[in-house]
Amino acid sequence: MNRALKIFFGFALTMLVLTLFFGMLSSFAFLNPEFYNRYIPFYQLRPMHVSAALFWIITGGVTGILFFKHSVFHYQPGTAEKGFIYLWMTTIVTVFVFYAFRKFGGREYWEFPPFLGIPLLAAWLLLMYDYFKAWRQREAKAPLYVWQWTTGIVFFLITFLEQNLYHIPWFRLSFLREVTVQWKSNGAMVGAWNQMIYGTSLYIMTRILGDDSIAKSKQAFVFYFIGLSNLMLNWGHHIYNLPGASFIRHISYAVSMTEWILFIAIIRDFRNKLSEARKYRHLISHRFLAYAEQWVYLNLLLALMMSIPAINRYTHGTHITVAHAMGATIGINTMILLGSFSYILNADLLEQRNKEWILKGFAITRISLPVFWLALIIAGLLKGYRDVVLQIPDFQVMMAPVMVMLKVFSFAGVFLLLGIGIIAFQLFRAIGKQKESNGRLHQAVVVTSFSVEGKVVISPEKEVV
Amino acid sequence: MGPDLTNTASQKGVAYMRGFIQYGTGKMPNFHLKEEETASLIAFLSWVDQSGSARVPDSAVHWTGTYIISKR
Repeated sequence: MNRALKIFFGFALTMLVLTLFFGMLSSFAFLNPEFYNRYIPFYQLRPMHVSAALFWIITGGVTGILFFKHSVFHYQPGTAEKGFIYLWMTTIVTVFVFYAFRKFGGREYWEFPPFLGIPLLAAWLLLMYDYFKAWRQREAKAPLYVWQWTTGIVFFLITFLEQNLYHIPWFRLSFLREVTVQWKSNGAMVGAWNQMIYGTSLYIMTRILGDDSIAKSKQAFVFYFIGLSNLMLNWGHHIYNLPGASFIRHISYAVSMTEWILFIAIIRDFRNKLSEARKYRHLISHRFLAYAEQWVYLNLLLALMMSIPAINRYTHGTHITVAHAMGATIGINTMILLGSFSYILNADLLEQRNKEWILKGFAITRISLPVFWLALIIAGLLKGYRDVVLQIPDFQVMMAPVMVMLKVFSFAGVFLLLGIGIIAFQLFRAIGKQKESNGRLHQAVVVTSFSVEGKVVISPEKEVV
Repeated sequence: MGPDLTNTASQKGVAYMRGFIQYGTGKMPNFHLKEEETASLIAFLSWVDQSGSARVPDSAVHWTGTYIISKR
């Protein structure tokens, strides 16, 4: 692994740890505003938490593409890749320097001084240039993961530009227009990074199973097109209660419901997935990926429910929306990324002691994450009922029973920080053990196959320089 | 997650908003805004208030589960 990529992996993990840390502080600040307002109030911690989370997910999503594109496209990294890595990281560090001086700005959900969007955009264009140079060398019938990576990279650019449309005065002339574009673009951006991350997950599964056919089957491509149509059109549940054109709401509702096909397919494949998970449970990376599949199931069910406008009416603006976001970013995205990092950094080759620490961290995460998620759903149900049905006018009175569940949520969040923090710490150590090459493609040891008994088979002939 | 401020201007009034913004509460910090900043914020919230109602009325929910909300 070259030096730039090693730093990039470390940077992504740093963002993960910061996300959890700021998240924990934010929840405490929400529960104890009188104390935190004196030092660092919730309204400052929230953008720090959200930005760190988005930078973790997006940076983490890109790590897989940067690393695997070498073996998929037989492509040597160029200066554009390094340019992207260093410009992207420098801009993000600058965002946090501004936060340290209490300088925010931009728009809700991804707040930072707007001019920093320019270097982020420039970095992304460098990434695209590098990726598409490699992409030209794809095989004729490219496997699905290649299409997912490509879709993710392109759609991130589109949604990022959409997010910044508010710089054009016309969009700010109408509050509804601006909010519609903001909520739409933020919703669709999630679909963009999901494509990148799912692509990496699929690629790793093909390597673990030693079978590329799962990335070339017709069924896989049908599911991809369902996902793609949802990426483009199912953001409607973000803007259902805005008084916009009804046909957009109807189309979005209809498209969202096609995800039931995915949901039913997951149930159908559940038994196979379970036996596959048992077979490969000795692999740390596979454990994370198998766990992420359980969260796909849970989160898809929640998303489907929220996509029905009549239900969305009660869930919009409640903690159920937060549960949806947390289930997706932690349960699915972070777990896939930890699986991807474990695979790339050869976590299975770490010393037994370190592997046991990862599994301990994973066990803590597996207990705390469902509690964290369920606490949010119950809090959301309470808020939805008390706000929409009972219409309690006083906000503090309406929120009183909700706060109890938020204490449970915050308590679980501490353990989530502990569990994922332990995993991240061990992965930092794994980065340190990576053999460094002189700026050229080099994966010192490629774990290519695994015996059924659980022993890792190393193929040194696969070393690529 | 804080309260929905979409219709605060019409429901609570300008004086109420001014008091909240200028002095803060136990939950909401005092941002120490200048007079013109407070006025701008109140003008913004009043403008938002005119965009519509934050609540989807029962009558807007169609039997298919979708909403029927006309564009302003």
